[in-house]
Amino acid sequence: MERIAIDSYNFLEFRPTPWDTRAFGFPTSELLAVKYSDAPSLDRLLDLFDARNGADGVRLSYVRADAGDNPLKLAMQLHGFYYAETSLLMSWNGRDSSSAFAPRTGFVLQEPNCEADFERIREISRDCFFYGRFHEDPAIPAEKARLRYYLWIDDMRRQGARFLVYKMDGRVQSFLAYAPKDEGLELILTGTDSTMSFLGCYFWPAFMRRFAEEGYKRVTAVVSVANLNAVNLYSRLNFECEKAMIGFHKVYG
Amino acid sequence: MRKNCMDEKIKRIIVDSYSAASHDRGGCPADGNAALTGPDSCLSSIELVQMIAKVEEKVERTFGQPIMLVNEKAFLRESSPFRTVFSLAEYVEELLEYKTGKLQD
Repeated sequence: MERIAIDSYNFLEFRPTPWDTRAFGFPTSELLAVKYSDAPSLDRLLDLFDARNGADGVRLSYVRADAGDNPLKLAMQLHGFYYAETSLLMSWNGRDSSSAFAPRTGFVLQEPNCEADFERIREISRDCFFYGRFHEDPAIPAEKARLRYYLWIDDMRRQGARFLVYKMDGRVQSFLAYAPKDEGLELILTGTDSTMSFLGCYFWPAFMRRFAEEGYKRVTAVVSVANLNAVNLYSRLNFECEKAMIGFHKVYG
Repeated sequence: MRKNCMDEKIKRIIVDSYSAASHDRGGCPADGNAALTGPDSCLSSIELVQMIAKVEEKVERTFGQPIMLVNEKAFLRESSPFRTVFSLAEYVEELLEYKTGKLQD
């Protein structure tokens, strides 16, 4: 993570995103946090960020801004960022889920144990997602967004993410990627083969039971508001909306 | 219980459960060919799962046999039992026949 600062009250943090660069074929960056004391300082910070992106040859940059941060949202748009998506940070904080949505099923979850399992995870990730910061951006070709999700799986593996899968007849049909975060877990990505998409509703309660049994008291996930099925499902699993975020993108050049 | 009578009861359970699940959408036509999955279905994934849970509950109450509709065998079939109201009814009937032995004619 890199930082551009005017002073200790006005700075931003960003990172190059080589995993997205591989999918899109040009340099990309993500603005992770912006701290500002007033509008002129914010404007100056975004000028400096633009200059840095220019120097790095970045052609696509993106940020998720707090939906309640109106000065930031205005400044992003004045600096050429456009609206791409809205997402929710949803969290489960140890509330009893046993009485929540718990359909009857005999499915058993396991860890993927061979490269064929991971190839299926990559395929599901590529073919079965329609929501997300890149899928919902009309300026990004759908095949690029799909490729980015395909490549993301191995990036997650390298970064230490864990996976759980449900297999049918030896073939992965559904998966969940997650990672420890603070004292809880962050759900990074989950997917089910599109021919049996409603099975996702059965896997989630199984995942949550497993996490609760392992003693986790907090689980978070970022969900697109356009993915109504997922938002409704999380709500039934006693997740609560913690924060709304507006995704802005900027194409340079 | 005679087979025809059982068939009718199963269909009624599924049609009623389908109607209840789709009620919030103004109630979709609950005929036997109503799609449960795919682009023609008017149920969301969660509504379908709720409907399936309701069917399992009503079948157990009516026939005294617990069944689990969503299982690996169901999905390994050439033709999914979750296509339509009728295909699900046939599947429920099969599961009950398997559990109780061949029904009387």
